[in-house]
Amino acid sequence: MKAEKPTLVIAGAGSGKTTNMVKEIVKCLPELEPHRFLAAITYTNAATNSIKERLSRHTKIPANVFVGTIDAFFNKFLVLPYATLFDIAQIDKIFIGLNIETIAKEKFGNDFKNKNLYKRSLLNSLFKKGIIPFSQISEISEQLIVNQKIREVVSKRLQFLFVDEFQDTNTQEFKIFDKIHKTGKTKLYKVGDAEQYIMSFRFHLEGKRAPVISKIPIIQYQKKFNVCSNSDNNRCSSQITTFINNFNTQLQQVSSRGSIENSGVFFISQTDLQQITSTYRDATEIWKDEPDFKRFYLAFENKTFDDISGLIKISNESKKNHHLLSEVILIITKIVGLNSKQICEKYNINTIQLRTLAIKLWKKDFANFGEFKTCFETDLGLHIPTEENFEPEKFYNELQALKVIPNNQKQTEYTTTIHKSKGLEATCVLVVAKKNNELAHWLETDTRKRLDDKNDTKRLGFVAFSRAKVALYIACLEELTPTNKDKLRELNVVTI
Amino acid sequence: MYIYKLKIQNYRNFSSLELDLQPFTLIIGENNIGKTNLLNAIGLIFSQEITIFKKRFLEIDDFNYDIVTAFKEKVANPSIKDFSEITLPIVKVEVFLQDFTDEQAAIVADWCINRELTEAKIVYEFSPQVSFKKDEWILKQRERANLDWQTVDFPIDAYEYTIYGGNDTSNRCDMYFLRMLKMEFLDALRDAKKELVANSDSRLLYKILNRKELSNYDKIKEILGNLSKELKEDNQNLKDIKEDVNKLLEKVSLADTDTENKIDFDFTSPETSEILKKLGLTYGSNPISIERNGLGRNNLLYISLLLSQILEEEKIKAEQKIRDFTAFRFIAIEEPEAHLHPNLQNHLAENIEEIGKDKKHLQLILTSHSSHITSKLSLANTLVLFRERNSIKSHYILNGLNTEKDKDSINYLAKYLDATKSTMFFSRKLILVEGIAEQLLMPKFFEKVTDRTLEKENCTVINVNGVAFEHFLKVIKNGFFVKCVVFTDSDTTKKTKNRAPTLKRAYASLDSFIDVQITTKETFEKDLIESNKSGMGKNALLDILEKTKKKLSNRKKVATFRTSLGTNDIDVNAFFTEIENYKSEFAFNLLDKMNEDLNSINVPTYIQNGLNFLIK
Repeated sequence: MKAEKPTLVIAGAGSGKTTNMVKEIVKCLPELEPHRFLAAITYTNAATNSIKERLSRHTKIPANVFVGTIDAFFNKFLVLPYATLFDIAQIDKIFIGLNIETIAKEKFGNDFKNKNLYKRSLLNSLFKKGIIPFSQISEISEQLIVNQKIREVVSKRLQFLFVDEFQDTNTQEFKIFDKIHKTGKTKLYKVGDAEQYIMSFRFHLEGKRAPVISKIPIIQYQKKFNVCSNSDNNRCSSQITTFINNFNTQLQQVSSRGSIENSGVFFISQTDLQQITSTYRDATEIWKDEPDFKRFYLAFENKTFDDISGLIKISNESKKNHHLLSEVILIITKIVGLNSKQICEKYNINTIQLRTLAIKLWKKDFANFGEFKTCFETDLGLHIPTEENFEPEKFYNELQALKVIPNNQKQTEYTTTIHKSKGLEATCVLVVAKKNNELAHWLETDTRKRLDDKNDTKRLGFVAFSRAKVALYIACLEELTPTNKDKLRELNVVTI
Repeated sequence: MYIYKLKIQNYRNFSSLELDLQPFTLIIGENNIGKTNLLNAIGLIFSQEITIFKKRFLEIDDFNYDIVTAFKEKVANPSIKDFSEITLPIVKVEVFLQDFTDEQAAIVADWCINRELTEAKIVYEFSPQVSFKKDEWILKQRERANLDWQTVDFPIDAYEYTIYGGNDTSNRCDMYFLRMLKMEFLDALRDAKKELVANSDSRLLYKILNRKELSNYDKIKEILGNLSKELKEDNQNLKDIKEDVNKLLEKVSLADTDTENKIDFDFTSPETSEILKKLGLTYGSNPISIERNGLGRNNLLYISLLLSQILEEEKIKAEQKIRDFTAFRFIAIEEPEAHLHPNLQNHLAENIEEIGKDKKHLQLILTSHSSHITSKLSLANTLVLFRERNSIKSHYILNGLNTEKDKDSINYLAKYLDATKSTMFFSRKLILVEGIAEQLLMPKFFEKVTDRTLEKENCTVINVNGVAFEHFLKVIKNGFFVKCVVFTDSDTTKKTKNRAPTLKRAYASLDSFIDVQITTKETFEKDLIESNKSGMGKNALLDILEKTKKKLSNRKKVATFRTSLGTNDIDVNAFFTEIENYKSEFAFNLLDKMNEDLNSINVPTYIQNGLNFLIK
């Protein structure tokens, strides 16, 4: 059976990608057969929550609808059911954040041959113990999907597959989707915007070479899809849309909001961060009465705005109440170094007793790590390993971060990295470059140069700029070079 | 842990109900108000272990009738072209839980609605499957030749149930954990006698016996094994019978190679479960089988057997038996008074509240029609269900009352309810009166004015024995919205002449529920005389007066009184002086007269007005 071409929606910033995808999912639900799945793949937990929430506004979510990150998807449909069956990993799997590349690099530096050999043997020994580093999930999935039987079964189980932020799908992941699709039983719908591809860092982390943008699946394999593009921008004023169109190599957007008085793009000429933020705040007071008024403070690094008071850090991993206990248990497993089943066996307790321990940990307040450690070892009776390089304090901090109850008061000032701002929007946005060089990348208008960008530096500017609804403020912590000054003038940015 | 809030939508007689519950709650209310339905709704979420299992799949009768009718009418109305206006009814039951032990928190954590993990919600929803094609279905219904809402089907086959935790519909409850929260429901029609014999798996006694450590029955098994040997091999009588039968069997039926023509005797199979099924309860010092026990005794035995089990649970710890582990039990006993003498009812009521006290794994709900039970339990835990127009409302009797400021009212009500076993909370309408005379006559007055009976209207007359109306009216004002009329004397000649008008003013803003009617003259009797001072009423009054005066000499005076009146009207004050010291006898005799002839007496105007308000 020849598979029908999947749909690919190329939709720019602010076009309502997610909203449209949710609508599309709702349309498919009546066709969904009770024994098959509809899966929607997102790239962050925050996006997962947002899709689930929007879906449940339209309909009740049936048990055979899966919404989750790409790792969660591969785990549920490939790794967990088949990895043991095909002798890739031990039966009780535990997933950990472990960077094999860093470990190997420490041992062998740039000796590629030995480094890779070491990586292979390290992974094998981990797999035997049932330990799978997150970075290996798609690797294992790819090994599995090659098997025709698995491919058949997976596509029989999957009736619909939705992929959000498709530009972030790498070739390996794409190939898995493609193999599932080729069996002709799964209907695919993908949506994305290549201009917002900023995932190169994943390759660098794993010690691989990042592809040029023309080689990422959303561009390279476009002819495999029925492509529709959506050039509406429902978020930005036409002033801002015009500005960001300068950088867009994929499509030219039209603002559906039209021209808005006082809206525009500005450059703050100060170089001191305190002064910059106070200028930004004063200048944006005029927008206070806008519906859902919010101010963003964005930069490449998370810590940039640490010294500015009154800002809330957006965490991508916002947890829902009903996941909290599982998170606490996960933290326990990370500290003890065993998965939940192994903990139960070692300490001779059952699931409920383990959960009860987690509740105790959750209810108790700790002033410092020392108190936490005492409670963990005395009250809970669990052992903390004392290996070298093992820092249980890291997981204690994780628990403390989880305990912070989000303030329900109406908050307006948020800071985060540009990477994590993807998918979000604010009335006013301040983007701060550390150096002239960084700013120059952001302001690059040469299509050729933008397309050759392997490090996302140019596209990061685009992602940050396109978050703004009415007011975009740019600043740099260095005195501007004449080139950058000229560039700003050329782009009609008002300097204040 | 306990259910602190319950919400029900479109289930049976509830279109929408929301109420708060306590660890111990008594639910009262008139018949058919939905007490059983309320408990059944909770049973859709929690599973039952000891008592009978309830289905989670609903039938069309389980849907609220009005909602289904409204839905069908829309389907049958072709002028509704926009199908998004036609939504299929959804049955929804939500329970909110709080006050957890750590262990309970560990079980309900995934269903919590706050980050502190101290409050959880479990929702049962019976709704159409997402794959149900509503538009096609409506079009098909409309194809019928004679389109009428009564012929429209209900797509019950397209429905399914889901049980989810918290506010996320996709967060299905893990049955492994949900099973650890249980509900036991002793419904009103329980067959205590049947449950007290362990002869099948489903009986209460058997279940209780079977829950204990089975190896402790080994000794009994051994003895039974010997008994079996005695039966099969050693007893001559049985052996003879067996041989005789086997011989005859040989003659009347053909044995083939596969079957053997042979019978044997068996007392019981050596399985412990089978042995247990032979057990029955006896009761009393002169042991009589429960078959011979009265219904009431058996009912009490049944309740205590069940509660004994549930209290036992405290001892069972999680590590012992995770499969049967129960973290919480919701126990509902419907009408514990069934078949019980009032004295036994009092005794039960005095003790039952104590049973569940301070036990975090237990929540106890009683429903009752017995004023003996209700009067003994604390008012603060008493919830009344009542009808307000077409919907069911709930009200805690003491809600809105301040334990300090309204202490007198609370004490008064508690004592009043205990002393009189009043049925006021089982009624739909109330009549508050000052004394015995009004109380006696009100049923007849009601009949005369409204052509109906008090019983039919589910209306109760409360004799306040004085003027303490406020205590009752406060409860109504705070949320027990039933219609109520107060009949009170104006006492215009007394010092307290301002009391009645003040009372009327105080409740004037609630005039759709409360009507205060005041006599025109000073007292009820005077108004009654005034309404009957001439014509037929006059004769009746004089007859009654004659009957009331027992002494012959006095009766003669009445005769003289009658003659002296001639055709004149009765003088109200003069007549009143005659009966002033005989008010209750006079009332009794008046009642007799009205029993003979309802029309012989006219009802005073203020009472007519009040009664008309009540039935309006």
